[in-house]
Amino acid sequence: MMNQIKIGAFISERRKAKGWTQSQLAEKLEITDKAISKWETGRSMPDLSLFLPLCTLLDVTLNELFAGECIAEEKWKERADEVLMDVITNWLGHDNREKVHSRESKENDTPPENVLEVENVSKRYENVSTGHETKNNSVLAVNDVSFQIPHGSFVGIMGASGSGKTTLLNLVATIDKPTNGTIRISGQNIVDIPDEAAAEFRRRHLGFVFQEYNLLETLTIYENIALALTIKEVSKESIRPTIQSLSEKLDISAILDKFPYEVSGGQRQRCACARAIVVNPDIILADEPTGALDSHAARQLLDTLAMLCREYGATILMVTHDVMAASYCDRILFMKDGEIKTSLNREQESKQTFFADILKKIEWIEGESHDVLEVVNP
Amino acid sequence: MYLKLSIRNARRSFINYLLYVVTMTVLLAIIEVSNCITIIGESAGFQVFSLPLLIAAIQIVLVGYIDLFLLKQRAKEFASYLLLGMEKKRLTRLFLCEVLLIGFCCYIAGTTIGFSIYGFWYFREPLHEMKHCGFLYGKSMFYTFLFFCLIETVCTFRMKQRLNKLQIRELMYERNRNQGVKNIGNYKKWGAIFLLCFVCFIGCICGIVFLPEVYIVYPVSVTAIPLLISVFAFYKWVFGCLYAYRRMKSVKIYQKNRLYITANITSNFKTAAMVHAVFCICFLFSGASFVTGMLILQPEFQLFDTAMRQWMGTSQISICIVFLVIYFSILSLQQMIEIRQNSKSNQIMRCMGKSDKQMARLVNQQIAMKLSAPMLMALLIILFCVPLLNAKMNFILPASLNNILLKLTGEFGACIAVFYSCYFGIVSAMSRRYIYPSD
Repeated sequence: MMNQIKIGAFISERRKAKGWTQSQLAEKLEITDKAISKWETGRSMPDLSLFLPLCTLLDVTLNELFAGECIAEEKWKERADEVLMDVITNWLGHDNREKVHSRESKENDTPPENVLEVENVSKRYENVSTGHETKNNSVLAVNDVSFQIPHGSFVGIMGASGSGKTTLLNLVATIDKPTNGTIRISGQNIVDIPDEAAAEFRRRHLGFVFQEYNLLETLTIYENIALALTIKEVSKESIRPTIQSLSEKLDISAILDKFPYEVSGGQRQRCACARAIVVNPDIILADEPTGALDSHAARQLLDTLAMLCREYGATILMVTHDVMAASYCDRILFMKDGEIKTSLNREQESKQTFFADILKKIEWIEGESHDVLEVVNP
Repeated sequence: MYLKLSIRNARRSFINYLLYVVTMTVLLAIIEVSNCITIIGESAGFQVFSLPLLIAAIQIVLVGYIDLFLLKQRAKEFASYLLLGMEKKRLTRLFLCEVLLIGFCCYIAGTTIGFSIYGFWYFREPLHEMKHCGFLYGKSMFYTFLFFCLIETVCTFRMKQRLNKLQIRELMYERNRNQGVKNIGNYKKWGAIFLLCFVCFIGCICGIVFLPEVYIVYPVSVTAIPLLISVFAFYKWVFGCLYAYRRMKSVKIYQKNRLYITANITSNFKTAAMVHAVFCICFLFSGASFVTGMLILQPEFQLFDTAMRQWMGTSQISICIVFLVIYFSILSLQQMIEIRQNSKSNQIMRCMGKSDKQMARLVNQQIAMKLSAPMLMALLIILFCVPLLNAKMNFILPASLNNILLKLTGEFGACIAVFYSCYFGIVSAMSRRYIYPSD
């Protein structure tokens, strides 16, 4: 099979031989520098349309690129056949690959790299008089939470209001700092980074989708998406093609020139998704993204998120209390009183079965609390 | 119930009303002062009635702008009243009464402040008798009331028209509505008008400088017309140009903070052009008053006797200060309200990766631009006119006053720099609470 890491190292080597930085190569290909970084570290492969321009720029043949090395003339025929075979195997594998297959292959091969690692994280707010656990005027909003999210997965956090799910999301988003524990995103510990570096980190690694859309009202939909790219300092020439291709995928091309107040809630939320994914973040953090939508718009949005996960390899962490929304996830963490009580993995079952499983889990969690209440108040 | 709701909502939008109250009170106080000057001037044989008239014209534009701003802020609330079953006529009446009532309170406050300032300055001279005080107060108040009625009538009429036009759905989105045009190429027309009028204006100035004495009266009498049109056309052109630049998705806009700043500037570009033109005129009048006042106060300037010279010179400098205060205070207040309203945008920008320092820098850039944008056209006019007029004055005035206009323009520049730094510092410091949420 094609070795992505080897190909990435080869791209990096050829780029350096040309004396270009990642940004310069990105500018020539009219893509983001983050994409180059992802290729070079073996986290993703170039899009089909970019193979030939990339080969031309790096002065290599397509065979050499797929082989991840320069091929000597005497080995040309033999290596070309090997590369072709690799590509065919990969192509057929890809064609038949549905989510289930992908998961199976992931299980059989080496486990995918974790994008997010949360270890023993707690958050205590001092001098707060309301909350679920109040001692000495302090609230333990998140209590000793640990979990990991592998690359390309769609993970949901469920829980009732006040269970600590949004607080946990804020901790991951570097908006708030935990009292204890460590949070690693793409291997970097984000707990102790200063504010300036946290902003830089958000710019480079995180994407956000909020419940209230949070699009800037003075900007058109196109400009809202472009703003994320300008903040990330992506080359200005690549902005238009990037937005156009993404908007076609998300079915928002027709409304790009409209202002947020001129489009429906569902379209607004898809634009918010476009803004989050356009910067190619390591993880997208979604805080109740379907909260303000009707069921049809909510389903459309969830399909979009699932598509981003499937086709763009996006990693998504979504906070929700909606069972229907949660049924789109690969894995669900159930929170209560600031703790993760249990989790549920989606294996090969259908969405309906998974939906029923989630309901059972919720019932179980609620039953557990009733039991506790019964013990306390017999 | 409606009244209770209305009072509660008016209380909630107190900060927005502050812009209205401050603008109304300050400008009415200034009209009161200028009416006092007019009345005293009339008795001394001077005709200065154009001064309150000019301030009233400025006030009509500014109050009209603030009325629309208030309507935008409360549009959703009005839509709710209509949904609850209130008739549109009643709603319009309620809102207009509310604005008129606040306006009348501002009139009382403005005239009292204005007369106190003038009275303190005028009656401290032993020559001026206190027995005229009542007469002066009554007459000036009456004149100010006439101006107040004129301002309120024009603004109320415009507001009524706007309210009648808006349907419930439009009211729901009025706050977020951005101004736009169908033909984005319109700015070229304004560019051509600006160029034409500016050339005419420079022609008039050249006429004043180079024509023989007997013909000077002609260019002097018409100079104001191309000047005012070119100021208005310039801002229409600049804002239209920025809007078109943005809508054409020019590549250059997608770097640094340009997109965000341009979007903020052009979201209400039609109104902004008008308001900037008015502030630019304020600035120009302020400059003209400063130069005239300082010139009159020069000991070599022997046109009037010493007492009259001092009275006139000080009056002119007071007018200069008044215009500068109008310019900087209202722009600063407007900017502070805008920053407060943009606090949600600041949060979004933080999530997208802007640090607090970067946000502070961005807000400071916006403040600096908003405070200086109306000066742009004024600087262009000064750049062209001052050297020409200075040459003429060198020719007329004694040698000891050589290059006096250049010197006075420099002094005015220094005065502006002081005002600018003070107001910039205040607005920047007050905007911190909307940038740093923990503060």
